[in-house]
Amino acid sequence: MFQIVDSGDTAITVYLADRPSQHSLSRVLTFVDRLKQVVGDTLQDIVPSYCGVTLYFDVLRCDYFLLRKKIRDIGQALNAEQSLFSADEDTQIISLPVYYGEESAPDLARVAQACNLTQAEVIQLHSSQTYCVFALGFRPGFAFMGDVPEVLRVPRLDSPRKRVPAGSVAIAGNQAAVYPSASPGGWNLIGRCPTPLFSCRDGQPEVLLSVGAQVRFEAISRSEYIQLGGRFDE
Amino acid sequence: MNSVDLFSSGPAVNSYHATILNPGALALIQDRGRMGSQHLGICTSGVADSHAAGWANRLLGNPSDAAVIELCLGNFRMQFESEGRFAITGAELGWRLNGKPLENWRSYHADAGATLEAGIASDGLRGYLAFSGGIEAPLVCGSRSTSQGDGLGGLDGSGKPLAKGDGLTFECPAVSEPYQTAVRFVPNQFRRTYGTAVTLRIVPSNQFDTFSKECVYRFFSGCYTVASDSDRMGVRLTGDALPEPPGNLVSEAVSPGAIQVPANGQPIVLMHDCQTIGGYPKLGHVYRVDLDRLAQARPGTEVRFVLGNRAESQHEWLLQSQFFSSATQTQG
Repeated sequence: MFQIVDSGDTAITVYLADRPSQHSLSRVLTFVDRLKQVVGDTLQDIVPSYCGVTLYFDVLRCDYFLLRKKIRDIGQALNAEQSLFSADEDTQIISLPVYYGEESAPDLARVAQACNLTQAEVIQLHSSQTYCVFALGFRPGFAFMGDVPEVLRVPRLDSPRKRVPAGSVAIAGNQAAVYPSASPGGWNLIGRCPTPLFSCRDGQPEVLLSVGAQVRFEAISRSEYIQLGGRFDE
Repeated sequence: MNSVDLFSSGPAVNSYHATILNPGALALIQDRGRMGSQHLGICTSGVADSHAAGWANRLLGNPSDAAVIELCLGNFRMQFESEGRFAITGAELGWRLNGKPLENWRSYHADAGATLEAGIASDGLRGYLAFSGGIEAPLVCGSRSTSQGDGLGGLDGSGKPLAKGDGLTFECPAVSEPYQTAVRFVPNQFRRTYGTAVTLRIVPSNQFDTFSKECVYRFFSGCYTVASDSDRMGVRLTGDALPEPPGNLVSEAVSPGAIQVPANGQPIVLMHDCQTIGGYPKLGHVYRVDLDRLAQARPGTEVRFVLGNRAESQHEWLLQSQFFSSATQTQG
């Protein structure tokens, strides 16, 4: 699939796949890579997500029709190619420590019950999978990861919590995430991660995860959580 | 320690100060927005009405990316600690300087100690207050815009709105002659009033083709009302529900102006603090220049949509962007 569609007057969305998969992720990453090489300097931003990429441009600096032509050319080359950006080979796996203790996991017991598993089994399943980051959004540094093991897929809460603490490790459907900052949220909270995912120092954002990154969760004890800077006071 | 910089080529720059006495309903430091960080999940923010904010800076000869104060609904009060120049545009807020009524869409001089205050908006929703030289605030991802949701930007960079007692610093460069005259004003044909009804032009975009003919027909023939729970994230519209909109899609990038239609068929127009990705189907995007009009729509305002096209929308946005960015060049 390759489809170019306007997203208003200052953005173009390019659809590269019908549904999210490792294949769609490879196509998205390869396309973003080519875009950066060919037209990167004329764009304001390139936002990849599950099945496509959205390009934001400045009408004062960018020729719309030339941009569309270049996108078409990249797309044709992409469709003709056999070898795509392969995530597994050159991407390092990022390990995120998680404290699954009761005080940091208000939904763990309910998730276990809903899945007909023990809490230990939920933890074991959650931390035995390698997840891929498919998109960033919702909040600065919030990474949508997949896939959650099939037996662990539970729907989001009926009504979202007003405040989810920063670092909360969450699942909903086949998606997993860590809340980088305190915010409202409707996902099931099963642990807490002490690693900062987003910070802004001297006006420069630092984001740990990016689209295409591979992540594993690693169970830690309460004392390790605290030692790594984890907190309970929020 | 602070030696005079003999080699500086720019004009002499002094710092000027003011204090917020009452921020009112919501007073935010905003500039043109935080572009280029959406891929990190950071929203663009920025002034909701780029026309009014653009004029406020232009009246003072400020660069078009200078930070201004965006006042929602008004009820604002501040004091100049040193003399300064300022401009007021946008919603009609009944501005007063030392108790004396001011005309909107003009720039003025304030003496040290002067009190500037705004009442409650009688037309429009958002008023703009710019100072000569722009408001000083740390650049966060290249912008001073306040994003309350992301906790970025504003006076100390942490996304907080202006509060009572906050001190403002602005640079008042030795501007060229035309900007020193007592009052500059926006010519009548460029001033806006906002009223109680607005018509927005739409670029069909993204999932437009997946909406049924019935949906599209009802959307363009219907009349919607701005709901009271609208904010800088989105304007919620109530009216005849669109029948059976397409279901949710795999999340993709969204930006200000996008018209999302959730399952209940009541459209939401995303505004400047919207999330960077979303999963509701989008019928189209409001013209960037028309988004300025929507930013001034108070709850209860009637909204109608007409079908436009990408070329016209882009052309008008280009002209407006060029107009406001060329203002700085006259400063030399």
